[in-house]
Amino acid sequence: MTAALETLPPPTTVAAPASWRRALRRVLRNPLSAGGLVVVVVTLAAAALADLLAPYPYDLTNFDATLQPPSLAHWFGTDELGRDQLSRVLHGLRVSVAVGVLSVGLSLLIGVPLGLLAGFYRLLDPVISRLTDTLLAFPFLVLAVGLAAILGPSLTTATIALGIGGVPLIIRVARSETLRLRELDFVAAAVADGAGDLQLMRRHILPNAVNALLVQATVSVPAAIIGEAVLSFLGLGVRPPIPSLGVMIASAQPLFRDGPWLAVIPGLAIVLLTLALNLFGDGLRDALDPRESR
Amino acid sequence: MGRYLLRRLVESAVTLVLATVVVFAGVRALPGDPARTLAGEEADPVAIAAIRRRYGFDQPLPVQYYRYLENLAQGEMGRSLRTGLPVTDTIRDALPVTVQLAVFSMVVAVLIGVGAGVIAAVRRRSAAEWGANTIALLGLSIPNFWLGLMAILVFAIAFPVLPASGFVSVFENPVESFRHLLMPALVLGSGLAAVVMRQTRSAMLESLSADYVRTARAKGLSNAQVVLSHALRNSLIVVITIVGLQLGALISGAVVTEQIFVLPGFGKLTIDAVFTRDYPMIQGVVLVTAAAYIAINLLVDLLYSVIDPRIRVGGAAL
Amino acid sequence: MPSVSFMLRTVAVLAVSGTLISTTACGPIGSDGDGDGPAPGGTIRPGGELRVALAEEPDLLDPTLARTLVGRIVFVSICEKLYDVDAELNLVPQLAAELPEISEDGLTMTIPVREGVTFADGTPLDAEAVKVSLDRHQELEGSARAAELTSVDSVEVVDEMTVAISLNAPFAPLTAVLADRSGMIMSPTALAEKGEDFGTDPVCVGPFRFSDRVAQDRIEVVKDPNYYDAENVYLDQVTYRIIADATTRFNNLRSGDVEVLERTAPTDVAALESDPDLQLISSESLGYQGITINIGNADGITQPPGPLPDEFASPLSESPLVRQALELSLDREAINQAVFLGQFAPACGPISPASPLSSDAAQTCAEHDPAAAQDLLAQAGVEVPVRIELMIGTDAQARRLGEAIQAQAAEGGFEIELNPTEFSAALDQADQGRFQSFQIGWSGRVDPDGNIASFLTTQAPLNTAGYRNPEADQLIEAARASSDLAERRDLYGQLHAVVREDNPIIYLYRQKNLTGVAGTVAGVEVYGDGLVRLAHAGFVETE
Repeated sequence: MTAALETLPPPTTVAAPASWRRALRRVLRNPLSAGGLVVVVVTLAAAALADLLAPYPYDLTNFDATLQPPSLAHWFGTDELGRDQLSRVLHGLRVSVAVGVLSVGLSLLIGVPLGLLAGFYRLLDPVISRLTDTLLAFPFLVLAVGLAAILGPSLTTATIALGIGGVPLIIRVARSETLRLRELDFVAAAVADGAGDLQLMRRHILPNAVNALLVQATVSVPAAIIGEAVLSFLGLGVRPPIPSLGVMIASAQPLFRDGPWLAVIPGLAIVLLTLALNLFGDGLRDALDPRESR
Repeated sequence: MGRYLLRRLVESAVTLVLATVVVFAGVRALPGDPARTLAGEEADPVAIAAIRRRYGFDQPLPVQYYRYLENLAQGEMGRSLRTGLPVTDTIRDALPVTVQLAVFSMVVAVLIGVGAGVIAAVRRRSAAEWGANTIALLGLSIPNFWLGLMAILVFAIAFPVLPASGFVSVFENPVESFRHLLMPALVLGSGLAAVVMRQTRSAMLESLSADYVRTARAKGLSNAQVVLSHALRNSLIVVITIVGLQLGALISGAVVTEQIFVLPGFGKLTIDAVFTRDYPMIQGVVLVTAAAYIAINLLVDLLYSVIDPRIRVGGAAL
Repeated sequence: MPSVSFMLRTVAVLAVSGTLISTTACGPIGSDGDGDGPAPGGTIRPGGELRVALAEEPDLLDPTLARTLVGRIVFVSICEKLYDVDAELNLVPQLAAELPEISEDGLTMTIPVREGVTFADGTPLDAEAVKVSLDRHQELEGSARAAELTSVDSVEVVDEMTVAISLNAPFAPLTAVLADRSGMIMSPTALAEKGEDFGTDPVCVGPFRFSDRVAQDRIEVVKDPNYYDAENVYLDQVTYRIIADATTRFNNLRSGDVEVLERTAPTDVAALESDPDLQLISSESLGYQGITINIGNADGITQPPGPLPDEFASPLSESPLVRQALELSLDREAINQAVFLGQFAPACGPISPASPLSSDAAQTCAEHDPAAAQDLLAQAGVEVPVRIELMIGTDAQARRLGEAIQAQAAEGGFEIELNPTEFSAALDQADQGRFQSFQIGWSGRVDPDGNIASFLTTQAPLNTAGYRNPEADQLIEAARASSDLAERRDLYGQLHAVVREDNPIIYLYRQKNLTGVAGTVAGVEVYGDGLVRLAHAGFVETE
């Protein structure tokens, strides 16, 4: 599961929240990550405006125009039920982005508090670490298939499965950041001033941990997008007739010979989006790292 | 050292037990009566009840769990509900396939990743660095099932040079094994290659700017010597760590790859077991996966602690 | 800006796809075979290993416990039965010497056992051995055959080579039942030795005998010298490989990694037919695929049918007119074209036209007419669109089918919401009556009773629709009891009319058994039952 591939410890020397504008400028100076940002924004816009941009409704079937190769009428061709592929790709992108962002959001929601607690309280640490380990040791797809069986396959189920799958990583990042920041001077100063635990976490640790979490998020979102595609490919994703890029590729598999564009184009869409996100994420990480002097 | 080892062992044991309890309960929480599913087309109440009795599904959960542990202690993981073959035998036949695939993928990933990482670190701000960087990122951005389909399209259908499916063990026929595993390994290793590349690059950058390297350069050692003997060696430690940790992810990712390339491996076994509610098989598979993951983690931790004594003391462990 | 390497890669992929599109052959649509592949001009040479690709992994290879169709495909090579079918689906004797003699009152069936037959382990076949197997099928706990043998009271050994079966009620389909797994005779020596583990190393009578099995991968069977017709068996070995993905199966056939391919995907037929090195064997299956509608399954199949709870009640469950409207709004031809590229056949009832018990009356069908559908809805006085939930499978083909149904039903005034549900969970829900409609099929049995009784008789084990119609019950009962073919044909025709009034199941299509065979192989036969028969298959002599 590619989500788990990013078990990297974050660079331990990520800077304290430098001025955001400075970081952004650094990102934009790098043509690759700037390009990534542009593609991401354009794709997000296209996905958000899918209803307006799509030339046809995504579920409009046309049994007289099935398996048409790309043409002027249908820029991306049609599938075996005569549905316009361009429209389906646009809506599919929307699904991908939604699941990607929401699932990472869920991971953060669950993982950050747990990670903070683990880093803060010596007693809770082993408990939370054991839970994290158990979750990591559990094969992700068994979890996903199990959830799909209980809740029924749908967008929500896929989001929950991916969200839960991403929790261990977030816990690790949050915990490691908490442990690191705890030792720093400004925290000691705050303690001396009489700050309570909750205040410490909320006002001092968390804001400084945001950078590392943000970097992790920019890596987790593309992984989640691919994760959604895998789940849909296996039949555990959205309900038909809502298109998902993974489902489109799965349906296209047996029709390879008759309509290779049906498998190629949705895949390229996923690659484009995730590559852009990864490039941008890379640039962001470099920009936030004080060692880099581009 | 001894205390650390003991502590880690206990932690691992706890995690393992937790995993078995979770899967045992979880699998029985799934909707879908396994007796009904097993009955398939010949489903009538009498047959279903008989199946239930035969496999002990009608016993209370703790009893079932106890029986399971009892059998486990004797090395018995039961028989597949579907094929009737022993779970241990089936897993034993499927594991080498996935292990060979995983090892091959790791080799591919390390070769590509380390190569790209070294280039990126050494030739800063050049086209080569951007190229290497992007190719590595592509590995992370391409869903491996799609990559597999495209690879089959090109290398097995359009220009038939490689077989589209099937598995040959490297111990049986190395050449054929290579041909059958090349595409799957490339596909599966592409994501890992990206991770390795990034880690290599960042580790190399760190060591290239370290004092002892500058000293070596000042002493007159050539660039290549510096790179190869000092910086690379240190970076490899990190790489090995990462690769060890990624084994679990690789096995997960192998599921789809195995489906597409028809490799009768562990990943495919897992998925099929869950879809058919093959309880004993699911339990066996999860147990083995968890055990492997925990064992590897333990090994990596120990390796790390041997290499870097600071870690042994605990503290801000990752 | 995406990097140069990225763009080059994109161009390369598109170029390759472009090449592929233009080289796609447009072959003719498949034609109906008579069950045999075209005979290549050449004799079959002895020897060789044939590799067959199966679509699924068989379950336990124990005739008493086995439940999968693919299991039957393996059995046909290693476990012969008392009776079998021929290419026209008529019953013929196999391990029996002749067709059974049925007494006047229909309560005794006498079966002569074939002479001179030995099991693969050398044990001779006699009436005693037949009794042992039949008893096991009935009595073993968890037997999958017990349900179809409920009419059997006892099995007696009359003399060394004759068996008499006593029935508790006349049951015409019994011979057909004995032409399936219930009629498979297992070696009593092996049974005594292995008992419950028989399935891990089965021993019966067959052109081949079981040799080895590797889970998830393959099953190997080798030629049996003890077979009574061994001199007409050419192959040394058959290896059944399990390849779940249809595209991969086909690729393997094309590349020569397997020689026979069961369940070719409809999407691969054109390519198969246009390839001069491959042959297609096609026969119409005995089963069907359709939509089961919950009419009266309120509390589960073990309870009597009744009105549905609010959660599942709908105009569809309450009014036959609405169900007829749904049937009229579905264009079976178009579905066949769009989803299966025209390779399957529309079906309007449970009886396959290939069955000897089919008749014109059993094949009547409604014309696709969405306007008439809307009229019926108006007549029934229901609010349009009618909202229905349809439970479907989670695989890609199930989705496609579901979406096609959805699109067409919309024209007739129905709004269908698709509910992909995993198979296990779906079976559960269907049994409990927790569904409105369910896309499900049946693999089919030689005797139409096997396609009808369990589904349409009141409170029958597979009657998930909760259908209760005394008239239908009577017709089914009568058709079972009569041994007169003409009479049975007539009764099934009447039943068809009754069922089409009520539509507890809307039959949609019937699959074809599409078997791909390499050009180097001859003698492979596939009849309507879908079993790949290899007894006389072999490699063609090359000059």
